[in-house]
Amino acid sequence: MNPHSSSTSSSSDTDRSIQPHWREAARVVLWTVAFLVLFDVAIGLTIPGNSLRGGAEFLFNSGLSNERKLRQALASEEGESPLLLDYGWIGDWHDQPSAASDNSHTLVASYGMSFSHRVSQQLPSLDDGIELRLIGGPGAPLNHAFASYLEDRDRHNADVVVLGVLASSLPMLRSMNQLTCTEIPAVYTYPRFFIDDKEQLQAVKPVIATVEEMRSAAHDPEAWQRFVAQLRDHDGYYSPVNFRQDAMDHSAIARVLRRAWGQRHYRQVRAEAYGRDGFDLASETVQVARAIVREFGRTAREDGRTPLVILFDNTSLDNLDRALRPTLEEHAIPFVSSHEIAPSTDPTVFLPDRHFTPEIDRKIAAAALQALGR
Amino acid sequence: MLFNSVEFFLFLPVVLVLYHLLAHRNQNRMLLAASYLFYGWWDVRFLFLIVVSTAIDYSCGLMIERGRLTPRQRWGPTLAVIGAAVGFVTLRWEATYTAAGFPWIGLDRAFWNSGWENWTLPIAATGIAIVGQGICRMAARLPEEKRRRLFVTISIVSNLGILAAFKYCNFFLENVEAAFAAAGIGAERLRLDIVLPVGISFYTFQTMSYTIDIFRRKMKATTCLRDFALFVAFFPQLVAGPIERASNLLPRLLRPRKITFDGFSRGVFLIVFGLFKKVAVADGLARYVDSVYGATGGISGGDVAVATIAFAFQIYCDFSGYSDIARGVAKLMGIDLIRNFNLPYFSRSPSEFWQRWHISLSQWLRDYLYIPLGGNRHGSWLTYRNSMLTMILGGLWHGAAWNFVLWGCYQGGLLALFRAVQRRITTRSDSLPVVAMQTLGFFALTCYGWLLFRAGSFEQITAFTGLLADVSAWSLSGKPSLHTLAALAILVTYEFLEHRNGRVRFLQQFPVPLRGAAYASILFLICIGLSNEPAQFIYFQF
Repeated sequence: MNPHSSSTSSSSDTDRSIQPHWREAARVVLWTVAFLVLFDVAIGLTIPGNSLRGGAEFLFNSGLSNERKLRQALASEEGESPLLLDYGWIGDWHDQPSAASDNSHTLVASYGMSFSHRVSQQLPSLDDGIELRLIGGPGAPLNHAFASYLEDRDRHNADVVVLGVLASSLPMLRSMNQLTCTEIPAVYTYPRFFIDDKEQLQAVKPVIATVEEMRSAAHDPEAWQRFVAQLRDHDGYYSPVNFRQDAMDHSAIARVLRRAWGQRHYRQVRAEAYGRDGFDLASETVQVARAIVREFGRTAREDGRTPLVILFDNTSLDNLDRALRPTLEEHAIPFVSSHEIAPSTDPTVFLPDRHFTPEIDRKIAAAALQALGR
Repeated sequence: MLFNSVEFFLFLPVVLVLYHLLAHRNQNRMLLAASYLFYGWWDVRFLFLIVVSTAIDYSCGLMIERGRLTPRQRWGPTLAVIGAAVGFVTLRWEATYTAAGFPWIGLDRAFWNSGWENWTLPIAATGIAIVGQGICRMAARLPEEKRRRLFVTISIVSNLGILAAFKYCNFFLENVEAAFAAAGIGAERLRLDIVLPVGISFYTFQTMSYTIDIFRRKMKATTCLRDFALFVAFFPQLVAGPIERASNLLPRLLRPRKITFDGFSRGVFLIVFGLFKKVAVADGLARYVDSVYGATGGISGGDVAVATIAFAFQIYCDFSGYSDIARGVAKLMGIDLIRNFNLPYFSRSPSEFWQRWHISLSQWLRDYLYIPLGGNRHGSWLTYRNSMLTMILGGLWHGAAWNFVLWGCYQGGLLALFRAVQRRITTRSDSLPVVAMQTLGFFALTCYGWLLFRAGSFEQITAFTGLLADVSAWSLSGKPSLHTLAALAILVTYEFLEHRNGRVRFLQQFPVPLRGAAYASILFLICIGLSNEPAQFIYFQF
């Protein structure tokens, strides 16, 4: 697009007046390396190595090995941990009601993550006969929600059980711990589900299931090795480069490179759940998710409870609905799909933090009540 | 394969080692195989289009110049197209990988898993190739001028046809749907499930220029299909340019190359600097720009202004970064590609901008569109018309969407406006304040063009323009990350010094420790930038 022919003050790339000599090039390389070392040392001296809270701290320290971060957190004083140590552990729900306060009321037990909690919290405002038992974890994937539901089956008298399924965290079904697959500084563990040769849903339970066990394993090399070995064998996101504590932890530049490597690894594993148009319906992730919702419906009915599945399509591909609807319909499990209420391709349905707006949460909650026949 | 991927940095050393070990003819064979591997990494089926484009333009070039093909020149392209249809489209290579882990062992699986419907393409390709051979035989008897016109037309129609089918078909159908809907006629979804092959606009323009230049007797047709195929598919510039002219690149591919220490070190610098632009600046700015352009509310004119300026640097660094890496990689093999960007944001007028921005496309449009339309030879109004048409088609080249057309109109309008104004100005001041004012003023106009380019809809253009106009309500709700801003500051300083010095390699005048500090800063910011989510190169979609 150069219709006119005026000249510019272009400078030539083939400027032959300056011909670098290999000796000079070597000196430049040495000076470059020296400055890189200087930058590295300067960052090491100015940025505290155990914090993830500020922008610069997060930038330079989130590439610490998972093991290093974990050990630092376990060794820190209460309230000073860079990681979320005490949240999300399965079974630690003593503050939640186990029965409705009034016989005329309905207790709804909800398992999932922030999306399902936000919708569940709208239910009492739409139906004052509803009370809530909310169970979940920060950024919890479906395997955490389902394992929590299974663990909780004998602990309450809820009439309705709700399972939240979030599209963006569905690929984390192949993980056993948030440290291996996100930059969310949460430590809690959860089982990995798989389908065995007889087409049955099976679980690999984590060898460390409480924060106390994690603390004790940090001082017990054998227990720690068992933990790491389990992640290596069963956590699809585990990478020794990201996990194991080593010399890279002592260099800021090595840490930012490890962070980049970790993100690439994460994206690669995650991509295995996707095809060209969204979730690959033949992938392990979708197959296990289908088995989970099927099992959720079966066991809830076995317990005399009403199951409800809420599908949160929060990614632009918008096809969690396509992946799970056939199973839910086939087994007549009541469900609500956010896709029908708030297509994720419409940016106006989201808040800046990528949660649905309160108005959409309320609409999903209303649809949930309708699905429950209330 | 992306330039900023691990795969590429494993691929490149292997190619370079082989390149240095092989003799010239084998270098070209290896480069062709490497180029097909590089492109097929995205989707092996895309290679079929490259081979078709290569075969058509190779044959047309020879028919334009010589009026006949030798048996070898006839059968080479024919077999290449049929082979590509079978090898790249019909065979199900993924079936071999999952079953055997090694493609050759499972070739029978690839064959039998292909399905009969997939054999229609090789059958059709065979039919078309035979018809093509017949046309060539019959055309040999035509008068020279008729024959030359026939084959240049075949080349242009074929290339533009491929481009239209893969890039503009859905745009056309969407508008037909919209027109039906506006007329109250319910129409089924007409759009087709077409995947846009990466870089299709780049290589179709590059191959078209080859046949047009032969038609204009500006160059000779090449007789070696393999060398021509390498010219079309040469991997450093295949997917995002520069759009090389055959008269520039083909002779470099045909003769032995000499690799010098100077060329090699310059190549390394260009690769590193290109990565810096892409990884540290463009990818860093992308997240911030997306947050503003994807916002659903709560943003002000200040956010729009800053995000649009950020986008101006994002698209510049994304595209010129790719071009730098392409030139750097080619230099490592002793091949010079043309410079595609020359400090475009130091321009003071639209005509200067288009001599500095995407230079290879600007020159292509000038030589094959603007000048044939009449250029500036037939008075002011026809010059304005020609500029406007060139810019609109240039806009449409970037993408099949109305906002690109609008952007083209805007650029055409700017060209006309500046031309009209400059004709009335008799004195031109080069004092620093005037130059600075002109540069900044034109940068502001350029940025508004980028708003048209980046916006997702006409509604967004209207809304953002309204926010910009309400200066009293300007505020800032976010900003790019600190390390991205640091990278941007280094880039602006570097380009300012280059502009002031008037030479690309000004850095070599500086003391060695200072250069070491500059390179270390660039490498350090690349390391940090690698954590940015790698956005696909913006220009791949064009």
